[in-house]
Amino acid sequence: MSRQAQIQQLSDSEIIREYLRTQRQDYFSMLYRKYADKVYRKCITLLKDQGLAEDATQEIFVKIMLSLANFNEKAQFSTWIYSITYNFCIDIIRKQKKTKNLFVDDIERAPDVADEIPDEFLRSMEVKRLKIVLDTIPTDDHAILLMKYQDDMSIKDIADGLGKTESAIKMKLKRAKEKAQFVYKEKFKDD
Amino acid sequence: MDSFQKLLEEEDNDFTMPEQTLKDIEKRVHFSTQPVRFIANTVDLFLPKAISVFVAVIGSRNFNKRVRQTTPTSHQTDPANGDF
Repeated sequence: MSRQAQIQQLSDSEIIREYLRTQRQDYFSMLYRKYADKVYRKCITLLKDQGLAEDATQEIFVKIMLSLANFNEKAQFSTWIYSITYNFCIDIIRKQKKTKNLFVDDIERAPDVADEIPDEFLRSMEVKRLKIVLDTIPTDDHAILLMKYQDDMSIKDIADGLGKTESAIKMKLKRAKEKAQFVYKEKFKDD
Repeated sequence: MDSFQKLLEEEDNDFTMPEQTLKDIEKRVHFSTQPVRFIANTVDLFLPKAISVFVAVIGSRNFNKRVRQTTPTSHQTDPANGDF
């Protein structure tokens, strides 16, 4: 069996342990090959620019490579990587102040909805409309909805990944759903 | 399959990184981290232990200092020195 095939049979945690022990590039390459495309797709979804997404993917993997020893195996490796990715993209957007436009300010003032919006509202939305809604709400809300509903991350994992408390994430999620509903009603009110 | 998974599937088809770009980024990651990654990972790996060793050393130094300040030395208690 080739060395490549042997590494392929290891779990992510085993590959990380071996990489930290030996510092051999082929272990890291295996993780990179497995996740680079997924990280890139998340970057392009949030940053909406191919060049930025490529640069972000590089920076994210530099961060991952340099902080692999901090990965605790309580969470899945994919969850850890995606948290770094979302955090990085949100930071880029904040720095560029791309979210500062009038429509977003309107969304920020979206009225509080007393009752929790059911998950079904988002999960059953037509894909084209969901994409429009997600692209319209602020990036951090977009990211938190993807973490919860696309990556199936738990509230605890999201909180750990973003460095917030679980109650803060629950509130953020509720507000993100309210903004999504507000945008949906605004964009598709004639239907 | 719900809307989020369908969206993910669509994006998987739309945004696949070209193989050459994938290779280029991997090379850049490797070279840009080459000088520091061993140190970073090694330090991170042993940081809690290093901190505890540091705290232990400083703590024992302070303890010894306090002991020296509150306990008379043999020089101070030696009647031959004329202090007593």
